[in-house]
Amino acid sequence: MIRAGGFFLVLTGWSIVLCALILLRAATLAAFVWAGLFVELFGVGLLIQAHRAKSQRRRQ
Amino acid sequence: MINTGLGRSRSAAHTMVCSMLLMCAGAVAYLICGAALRGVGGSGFVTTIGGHPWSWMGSTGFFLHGMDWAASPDQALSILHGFVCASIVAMIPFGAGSDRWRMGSAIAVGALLAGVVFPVFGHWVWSESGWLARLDKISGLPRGFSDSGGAGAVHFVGGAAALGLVLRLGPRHGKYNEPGLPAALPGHDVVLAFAGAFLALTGWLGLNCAGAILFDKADLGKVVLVTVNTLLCAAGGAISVAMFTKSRYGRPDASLCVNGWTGGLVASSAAASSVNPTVALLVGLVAGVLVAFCIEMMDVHLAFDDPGGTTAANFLGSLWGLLASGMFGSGSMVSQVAGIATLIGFVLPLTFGLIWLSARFVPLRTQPEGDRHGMDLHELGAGAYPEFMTHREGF
Repeated sequence: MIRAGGFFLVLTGWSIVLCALILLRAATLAAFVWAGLFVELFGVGLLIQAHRAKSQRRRQ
Repeated sequence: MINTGLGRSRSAAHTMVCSMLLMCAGAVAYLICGAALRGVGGSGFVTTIGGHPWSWMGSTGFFLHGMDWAASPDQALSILHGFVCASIVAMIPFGAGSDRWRMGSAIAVGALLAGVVFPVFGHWVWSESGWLARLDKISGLPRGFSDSGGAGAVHFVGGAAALGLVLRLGPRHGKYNEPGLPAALPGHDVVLAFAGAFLALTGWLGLNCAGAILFDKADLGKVVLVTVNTLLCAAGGAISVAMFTKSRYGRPDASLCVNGWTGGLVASSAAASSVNPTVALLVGLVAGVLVAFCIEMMDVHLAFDDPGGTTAANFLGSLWGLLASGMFGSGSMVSQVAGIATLIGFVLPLTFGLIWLSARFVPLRTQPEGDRHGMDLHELGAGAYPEFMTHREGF
């Protein structure tokens, strides 16, 4: 579940960046591109957390 | 050579054979479809959004059919550059999967990376019609996404595949004991790893200079600057890792110095053509610390078993180089961030998806006997060092 959420956030972040590049200009564009990147990084963090939880369960 | 040296002796021949076959598979996959998707044929899949053309991938030139080699030397050189990059992309992930990754699966994944992932992103960045290269026109930014040396197109793709493999393959037999504490499985031949690192520098100098000439239209003076910056980035990476490990463990760590050197070189692929020499040294210094810290985090806290340190050096080094190019160089920061977001948001899931897909057809991990006896005996039937067969169980 966490892994699926992570993948979803990674793809959502890129969608935000693409939409910003198409629709926005100047400072607003920069803000949304950064926001999209942070959403992606949050998704990657969730993917790593999911892997950690899985490997801990395997060890127990 | 780096991957072989940092791996175990009982899989040394397997790593060398696989590296060679991966280069071959990468070149063949690029010939079949990679060059076409990269856009050497000229035409491609283009959509018009917001009044601007967005070129997604090339569509002609499969098997390099219809190429007129004499007509355009620039295009011929671009194809040569593509072949070299595709071979490297296919080979990078093996450092993360050595000692447990089947040869057949490695070749399948390498071919997919060189034939699909690298060409598509390479088209976006390096083709004149690619949408990331044209962000200045499409979105009104000061410059398009800049990656002349291939930090994103080559090293991030390889690093993302390495990360996916580390996650899917799991650790080597004997790497983590019952409470989850990591065991030290040192590289069997650090001299070989260092020889590989020195050889990598010469290759990197050529690749960074070729990228600057082809995609930045660099003159002779700029090519010399790229060469100097590449060397300084590598130097910064090795120096900072030596200092980092000296202060942390009391002694400089030899294998981490190789990883720091490689991380600095990866960062140079993005930054070498757009920063001055002092900044290049700084980029290398930061890359080295990032790589060493990431390897320790992955090994101790995350239980990611990456024998060659490939994920840290390529994945993290490339992202840092691309960011530094926007922060300190002539690139546009927003364009660089958009490119990084595309790497994480598109290339990473695509790479993970292709690894998952290939695992449906060819199992990734070797059988337990391969884990115990080593990949040399299991897949090749003979070891790399027959005079010195002293392997113990679990090493």
